[in-house]
This record gives sequence, C-alpha cells and structure tokens, in this order.
Amino acid sequence: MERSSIPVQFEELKSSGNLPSPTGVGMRILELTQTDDYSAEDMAEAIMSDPSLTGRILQLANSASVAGNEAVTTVSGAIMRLGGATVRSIALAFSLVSEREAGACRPFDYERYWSLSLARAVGAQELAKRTGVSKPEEAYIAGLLAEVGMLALASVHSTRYGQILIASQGKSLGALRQAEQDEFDIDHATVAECMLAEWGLPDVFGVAIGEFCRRRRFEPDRAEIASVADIVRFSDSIGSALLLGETTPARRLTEIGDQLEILRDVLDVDEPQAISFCDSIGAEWRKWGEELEIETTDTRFSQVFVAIAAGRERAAEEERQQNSEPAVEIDVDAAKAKRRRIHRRNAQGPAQSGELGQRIKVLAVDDDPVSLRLLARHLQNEHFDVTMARSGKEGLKKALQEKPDILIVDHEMPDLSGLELTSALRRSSVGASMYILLLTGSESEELIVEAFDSGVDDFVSKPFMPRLLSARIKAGVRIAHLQRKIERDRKTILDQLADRNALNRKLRTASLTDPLTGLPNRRHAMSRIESEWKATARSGIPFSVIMLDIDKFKSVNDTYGHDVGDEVLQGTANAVKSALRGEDEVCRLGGEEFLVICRSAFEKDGVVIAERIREAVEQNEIQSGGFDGAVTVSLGVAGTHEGVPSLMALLKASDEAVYQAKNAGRNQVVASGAPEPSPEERDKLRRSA
Amino acid sequence: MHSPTFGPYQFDAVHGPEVGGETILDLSTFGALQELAGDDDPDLVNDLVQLFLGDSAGRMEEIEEAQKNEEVDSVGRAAHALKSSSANIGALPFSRTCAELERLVRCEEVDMDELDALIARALTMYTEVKDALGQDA
Repeated sequence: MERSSIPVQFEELKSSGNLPSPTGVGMRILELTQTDDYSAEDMAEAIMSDPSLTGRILQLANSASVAGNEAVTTVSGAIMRLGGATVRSIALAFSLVSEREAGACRPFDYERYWSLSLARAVGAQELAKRTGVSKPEEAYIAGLLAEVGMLALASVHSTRYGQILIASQGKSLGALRQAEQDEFDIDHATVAECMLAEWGLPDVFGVAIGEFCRRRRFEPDRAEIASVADIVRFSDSIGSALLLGETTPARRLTEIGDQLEILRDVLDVDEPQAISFCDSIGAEWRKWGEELEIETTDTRFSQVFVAIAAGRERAAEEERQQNSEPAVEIDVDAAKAKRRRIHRRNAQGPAQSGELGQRIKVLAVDDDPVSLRLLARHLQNEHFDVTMARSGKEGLKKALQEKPDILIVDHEMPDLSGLELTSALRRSSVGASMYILLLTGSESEELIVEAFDSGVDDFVSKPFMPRLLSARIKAGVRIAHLQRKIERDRKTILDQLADRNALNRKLRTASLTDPLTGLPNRRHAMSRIESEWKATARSGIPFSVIMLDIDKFKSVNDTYGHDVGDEVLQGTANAVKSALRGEDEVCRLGGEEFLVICRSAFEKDGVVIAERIREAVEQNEIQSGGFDGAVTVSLGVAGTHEGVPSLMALLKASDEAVYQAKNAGRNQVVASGAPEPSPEERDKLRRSA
Repeated sequence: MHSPTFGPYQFDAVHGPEVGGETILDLSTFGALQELAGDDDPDLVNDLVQLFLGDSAGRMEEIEEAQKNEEVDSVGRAAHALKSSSANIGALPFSRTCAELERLVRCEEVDMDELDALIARALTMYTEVKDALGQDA
C-alpha cells in the first residue's frame, strides 16, 4: 500500500496514540531503516543492544533454515542468511510481541490472541518449508501479524469494539468486518494493511494479510497452496485446533475439521502423517511459547480429530440455521481450553490499576534480607499491598510486572544500585509515573543530588525511623493518587479525542463541501454527473466533463510545505471558478485534481471552456510563504456522444486525455476526440437553450 | 514476672556480655520489634534473627576472604550490609564496629594494621552476637 493511499480513518486511529506499535529496539530499527544510508552493521548493532531479541532472531534464522545449513550464530550472519529486509521485519514483529500487554477491551481475549498468533506463525513457517511457496521466515511474520488489525481496533476503541465483539459472537468474520466498517468506517483488514505499510514492511505481508482477513478459508476446489495467504489460512486452522476448548461451537469444530482434511489432501498425505505434521507444529509452538512467554496448550492432534468427529454430529443439527463462514471466537466469559500457565509480564491491564480507592501497591527492594523483612512488616502495618524483591534486577523485573504505585529501593545493591534501577524505570512507560523513595545509609550532598537527578522522588536514611518512613510514604501516596487521577484523565481525554475525530469525519463526509477550497467535493461531483448522465440519456442534450490536474503540485508541497500547497489549491480553485460559465460547476475530486461539469456542452464547447481555465490559472499569480508565481494545469475534456457507452467510459476518456496532456508537456488541453456534432444535434441544443 | 514470648526468644533470655556498659543486644530494639509484630505477624522476630544469621555468616566469610586477598572494597561492601542488618536486630555495638570498618576502608590510604585489628574485633563481637541470639534457639 502506497503511503499516499493511507485512509484518513487510519490516521484517526493513529492519532489516538493507542495503536500497537514497535517500541524500544523495534522503534530504533524503524527509525534507522527509514533513513537511506543505514548499513547492515548499524542494524546489527541496534538489534544486539537487546539480548533477548538477538536470541529470538537467531532462533528463527536457524529454525527457518533448510536442514543441512550451518547454524547461524551472529546477528550479522542472520542478516546475511535472511537478508536485511527480513531481519528488520522480524525485529519489528518481535518487538511488538514483547511490548504486548492485556488491554482495556475486556471482551477481547488478549491471551488467546497471542497464543493463536504464535501458532499461526509457527504453522505458517512449517507449511512454507514444506511447500516452498514462500520463505519460511516471511510466512512466520505473516502468521504472527495476521490479526493485528483486530488488536489495533481493540486497543484504540476498547469499549466500542468490545460491544461489537460481543454482538458478533458466533456470527461470521465477514459480519464482524461489516460491523467494524459501520462503526469505524474501516475494518480490521484495512487497518492491518495500513499498519504494515506504516512500519515499512514489504508489500508481500500487507497483501497476504489483507487476503487472509477478507477470506479466512482455503476453498476446497483449489488443488494447491499458491500464496502466503493460503499458508496463513491453513496455519490459522491448525492454530485454532491447538486452542480448541470445551466451549468451541460445534460448527467451528466442523470448519476446522474440513480445513484440516483439505490440508491433508493438498499435502497429499494420509491421516497419521497429517497428525504427525500438525503435532510437530504444536511442539514447535510450545517451544516458542516458552521463549516468548506466550501461553500454549498440550493439545495433540489425535485428540483434535476425535473432538472434530464428535463435533460433526452435533453440528449437523445446528448447521441449518447459520451461514457457514468461519465464526468469531472470542470466548467472552466461557471456560477456555486449559492453557499451559506461563508467567506473564504486564498481566494487569490499565483499567484495574486506574481505580481510586484501591490498595496502594508498594514494591520494596533491598538486598539485605533483614531490612527487607522489617520494611515489609512496617508497610503491611500501614495496610499497603506489599511485594518484595531481593536484588536490583529482581526489583526492576517486578516493578515492570507489578506496576506498583510506590517503589522503595535500597541505594547500595551489588547487581543494580537503587539509582541505576530508578533511571532504568524512568525510561520505561510503566516507571515514569511511579513514586520512588530511596533508602540510603549516607546523606552526602553529592549522593542526594545524584539521586534526584536520576529520578528519585524522595529519600529516607537507613536505619529508618518507622514514623518518619510512614510520613514519607503517605506523602508519596498522595502523589501516587494524583498520578493515577492524571493518568485516568489523560486516558479519558484521548478516548474523547478519538471519538470526536470519528464524529468530525462523519460530519465531513456527510457534507458535500471540500473544507479547504469551499468547492463541492468528490461525493457531490459523482452524484451530480450521475444525474447529468441520466438527464442526457432522456433528453439527448449533451454535456462535457473537464478533468484537470495541477502540474508539478507535489514539488510545491515538497519545496514550500503543505501550508503553501493549501494556498495554491485555494488560489487555483478561484482561478478555475472565474473562467466558468454560469451553468458550469467545478468540484475538487481530491489532492490536486478537479472536475468541471459543463451542462449543455458538446466536447468542442468543453474544449473552449478548458482553454479559458488554462489561461486563467496560468495568469493567476500566487504569493505565499516564499512561493511567488503561477502554477499551470493539464486538462482533459470528454463530451457525451453515441460512442460513449457509460458514465465510467466518459470519465475514463477525460482522465486519459489529462494523461496525454501531461505527457505532451503539461499546461495544455487535450480532447478525447468526440466526433463533430451533426447539424440536427446542434439544432436540438440551440432549441433547448 | 511473666515475659511475653515471641518465637523461641524470651526477653530475659536475650542478653549477653556487656560492651562498655552496653549489652551486646539492645533489649529495647527487641521490644519495639515485638510491638511492630503485634498479633498479625508472630514470626517476625524469629524470622529476622534467622535471616540475619543466614545472611551474616556469608558476609563474615566474605570479610575474612577479602582480608586474605587484601580486597578492601569487598570488606567495605560486606561491612556496609552487616551494619544495617545487625542494627535492625539490636546488635548495636557490632553494628558500630561494622560502620567503623566501612569508614576505614573508604579512606584514601587504608592502614592495614588498623584494618586487621578492626576485623579481629568484629569477628569476636560477631561470635558474641551469635551466642546471644543462639540462646534457647
């Protein structure tokens, strides 16, 4: 998807600030690779600053490679083997996974989302290896990100999307996309395409994921896997099978069963071979699950086939009343498949921790067990919700996990000092609003200055006096309360902003005027020419359209900025208007493109008007922000006559004429080449006037 | 007189040799700890003592090891940790010795004779603290 074609609806989602996006190393790589002259070494260096990302990339490089290849052991080696673009995509995808957290959209099952995405990724990788249709690592990324559009909608419009999910439960995915379209004017397929384009991922991903979102099933009449989208379709069924639960609807079971049977035929294997292939995907999935801390199940495919057979019988009864597209599975409050419990980061969503009146969470970090135990006792007496950590590193991990309101941290710890811990936390989004108290044995001026510099809010000397500590903590609690309130207000404001943007857009599209130039917009233009076309068909009175396009407008924007560009558009609109007859109308189609509708005009009349417009624009001097001069326009004219079979053909003819005018050197009028009107036709027009 | 109990420790059992007119373990600290424990946390004092004994044994070994290898920084780190953990359980004279030790090794020029003497004193006092805590334990 070209950047220029990113729809305004997506820009609105983006402006909410809540779209899932790569952060940390992922963001650095994104920025780095958007410059033209980055080298493979730059990228390798950025990746290596994150050891876990490095490990994952090497793991993928090796698991995706064909057997017999020597193992890749360095990031540069991975870049050489997979190519820079692929490593970049992998890094972005993984950074998205590592930043995941359960969000505020309650009906959206975040755990299931990531479990299924990972299963899809691994399944796609194995299918790619087996079929050779795509590179295994590309298939992995496509599988991982296939439903990122739904994640995005859940993140941005948590409440409204939650309602849509609940209302769509059990309906088809097509119905879900329609509901998204109705509510947000954009569906998860388009959102996904925009996000991938925004991150600069190669087109292959956007295409595959867009196709997958729009058609989830592999149709049985096709003989072989032909695209990445097909690979993702099958891996989605394998992943769904791995996540089957007691509450999976019978109809869904049958669908999964059908897809697995088709897969068996497409791969040309028997059932035991299919089971062992799918089980090998399951095993690989569990391995990745541990690495990425994503939950997996112990499902075996022999069980899956038994469950499917049982489901078919139940489904036969239910089948008639429903349509047969894959159903939305969100498990609102249903018992879920028994998942392998893996310790999760950021398990707590912002909604729970944002409430006032809840117990204040305090994390105490001290490497001295005696002080720590004592401190915890004091805090418990004050009715805080206390967590303890025995070292700086453990403290950092727990602070990110538990998101305490207050952190009390010892200064001297061997692995990570209190100040180092504080600076690390202050760089994270979680730690920015935490109230941090430093415990210190010394009160030297330098230390205290350094402490405040690194982001400490207050300090207490050791051994602490209980009453003083309490007083300090209470001051911290007040601030933590305020922080929470600010955070909540900020979120409300962002939500309101997202809603207001959507409302504004609805108002804009509902109206028929282009706000910049004050001209009628494309919507008006289309309905107007439709009625002209019908009138002409009835009366035989001709009309003409003039399509016109400002020459080299992009360079105006690039050189002088969009503000100047806007003024040039306004100036041009006025010049065009000044050259028209009373019954003509000019509309702005979008960008630098305009359409003039000339009623009661043969093409040759249109050409005269077009030439007048051309001159008017050429002589229209515009002064704005450094821009001083006139722009020119290229115009294409097409008039109705017997040889034009449809309105579309008419528009196409004028569009082609513009193209010819551009090719012939711009600033000129080209006609589509309608025949001279006959004397009778001319007579008829004259009589009607 | 009936002494309140906390863990295996008895108020009147917690005493030991005196240092300059001061007991090796400060009874009022224990009183405060017991108050802090209240009814909610009867194991507090016992836990603190066990945690101290567990942690300090390693730290004392570190000091002796560091002394052999003349790694004064390691002596300082261990002494710093012991200073606060021992103060928490009322081993105040020992805590002060650790503080002196910490101060000494942070000087520009460390007098090794003074260091050896201080470490010897710390070791002796540590044994006394352990003995005092170990009563009835």
